[in-house]
Amino acid sequence: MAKLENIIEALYLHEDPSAVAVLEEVGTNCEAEKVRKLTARALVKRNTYDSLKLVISSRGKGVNDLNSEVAMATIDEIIGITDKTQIMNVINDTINSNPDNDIRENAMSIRTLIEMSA
Amino acid sequence: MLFLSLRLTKYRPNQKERNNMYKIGINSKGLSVFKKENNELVKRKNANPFQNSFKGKMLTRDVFVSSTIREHAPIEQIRTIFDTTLAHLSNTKEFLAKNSAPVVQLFHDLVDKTVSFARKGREMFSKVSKFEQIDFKRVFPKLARETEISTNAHEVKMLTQQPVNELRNMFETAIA
Repeated sequence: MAKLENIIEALYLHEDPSAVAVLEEVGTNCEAEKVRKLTARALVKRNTYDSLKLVISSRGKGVNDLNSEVAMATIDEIIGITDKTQIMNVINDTINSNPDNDIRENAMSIRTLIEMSA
Repeated sequence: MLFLSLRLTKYRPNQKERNNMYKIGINSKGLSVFKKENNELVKRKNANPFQNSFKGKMLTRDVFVSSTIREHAPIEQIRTIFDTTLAHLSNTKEFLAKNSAPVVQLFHDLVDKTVSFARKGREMFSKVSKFEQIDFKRVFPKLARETEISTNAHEVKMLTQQPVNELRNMFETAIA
């Protein structure tokens, strides 16, 4: 039996785009904080528009998770990304078009953090 | 003895003494036991009583040395050589003491520099030792995470070769 961390890592590295859907459906909806945290990190490290949109624009997932540890781990991983082109696109789209005010404020805060850390 | 003999050969009674000798009945012929020498030889001997002829060669040095000194001559020579060597050594020592001050100072400078370098190296090593005690995983959580991932790299690589549906089943099983 493979370890949970290795399975999430394999899904993050998998070439099949449907791996993002698996992470979203199984990982981000899991009750265990550890699994949600690992899944959010994996989605950020995948660094695609779809995976980043999940952790930025979805309520209760990624940076919007009710658990602060999961949210902070996701923000830490976002700041650690080398190529921030995709994440800035996702943040700008979220600020401009997302109807949820809390999600937009979170996105603006993350954008400020990225600009300060650059 | 030689000096005495010289004095004797040199002795020549004057006229008054001769007359007195005649009076007391001493025949002047009795004085003929003294060998007659020409004036030149007498003058030469008077000039330097230690200057003698030896088989026609003039001896200008005092060869009348006692036998004990003659036996110890090599020892004297060795002693002289030894004294000369000691004098040279003492001169050399003085020369070094006077002229080797800059060299000695340079040597001391080199020793001081070496000691200071060693001290710096020891301080640096102690600092590095303290620095190594820092828990990098605690300071940089990303580093710790990447290290953990790299330890399972082989297993992750094997999992990535499997289909996504298979991974989904494994994921759900691991969570449950």
